[in-house]
Amino acid sequence: MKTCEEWARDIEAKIESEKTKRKERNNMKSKYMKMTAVAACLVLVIGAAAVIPYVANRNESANLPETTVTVTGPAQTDSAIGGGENSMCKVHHNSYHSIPLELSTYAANKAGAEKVDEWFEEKWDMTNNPGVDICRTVGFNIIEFLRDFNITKEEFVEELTFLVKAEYDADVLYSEDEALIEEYFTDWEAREGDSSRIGNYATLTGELNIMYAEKMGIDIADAPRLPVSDIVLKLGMEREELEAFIKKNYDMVIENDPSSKQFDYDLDGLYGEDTDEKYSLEIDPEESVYERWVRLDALFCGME
Amino acid sequence: MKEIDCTDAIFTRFINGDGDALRELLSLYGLKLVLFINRYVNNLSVAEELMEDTFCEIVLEPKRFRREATVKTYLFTIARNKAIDYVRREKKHSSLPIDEAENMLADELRLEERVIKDEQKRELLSAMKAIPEEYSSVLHLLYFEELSYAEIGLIMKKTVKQIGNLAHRARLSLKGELERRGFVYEDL
Repeated sequence: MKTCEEWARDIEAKIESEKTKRKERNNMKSKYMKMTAVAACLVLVIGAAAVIPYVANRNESANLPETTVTVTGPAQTDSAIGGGENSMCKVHHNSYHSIPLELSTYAANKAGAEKVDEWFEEKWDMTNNPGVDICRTVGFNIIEFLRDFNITKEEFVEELTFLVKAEYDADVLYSEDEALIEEYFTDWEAREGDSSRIGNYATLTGELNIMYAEKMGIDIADAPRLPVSDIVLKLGMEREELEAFIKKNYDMVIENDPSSKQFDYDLDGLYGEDTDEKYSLEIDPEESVYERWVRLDALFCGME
Repeated sequence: MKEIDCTDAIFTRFINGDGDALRELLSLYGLKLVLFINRYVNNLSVAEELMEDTFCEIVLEPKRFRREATVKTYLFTIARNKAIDYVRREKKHSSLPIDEAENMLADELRLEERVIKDEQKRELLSAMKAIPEEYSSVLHLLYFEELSYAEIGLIMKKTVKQIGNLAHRARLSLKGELERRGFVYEDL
């Protein structure tokens, strides 16, 4: 048995080591997020898919959900000018300053990965300038993105699936009514719907993908983006373990945003008798990797 | 009540990075937690590791502390979660070499003597190793940590009524075990 002093020293060393690891992990994730749009397109071509939406988060907590882009900048004010080390806008909901992966992937397929990457790079660089107002100057928002990539309302409604549709009201996005859009993204939490669930789900699936990459010893930047069901089946995660993982994630999310919601995840289906058929790991050559992960994630979220 | 207030203050200092507060908390709860965790993992080295991890988690995830819990119930809740996670991960029970197991047993007895001064209670503790894990946990928290049903409920994620039922079944089970060993405990 160790002495009390030895325990204390061990605990202090462990805490320091974990803090360093987390810092490195966060740095890696920030870099990873930044690369996502390009990676999404490249991996589609080579038969895999990449990760998580871009989100410029308005929360200030150091324990942000992992789907946030951390941006270094000057101190934040309530008027949403500038941005603290890891927050950028307190006025709009995250969904305004974020581009879901599905949408960035769609744009990349349409306009080319380089164009999408340039768009993010440009916005990214601008957000790093001290004093920059992300809302008014940078245009890091979904409306600008749709406009810059000429994604029409018809495309938005017909081509994109649940990850985008459940989160945004196309009528508002394409209304060109600034006041309506402003109200929509500032009053987000007052509305019922699937909005927060999508962001929270992105956090969950992002965390699972990162965990999978770590367990498999794959560099996170090179890891294919997998649907939740694939990760669970490939790692042989037990239901209790997955439930604990979900709970842990949502505990974190809820602390940052008490209005958070979550989907009614299809755990019974994932751990049921027909799992192999329902969430088959087999690849259908007729289905793209992108289509497959959207389909499986939608199924798991109960939004097929 | 006074003790809780005092622990609360130490806990707050600990969260804020005060190394002395960590040592104070360890002297108050370190051994008790090791003994409690050991009930699940049956390996003192592992129990020590998990006790250390418990304190790490408190610093690294301070927001998880809910004000309705006392510091003590919070510590035991995290410790229990860590122990259960460990047991799940290590489903395949790895056997120790005999000499190592003997050393560990001796360590365990020394630890029990340090934490539990009352010899009768140590006999109880020994008998509790033979009853189901859930029973022994509830009795451990009841007899050795002197927690209320409500506090144990928080730790074991059960209602007060469920803890009451569990404690009743646990007592019957322990009584049977003690009788088998030739002891009679009227107080149970």
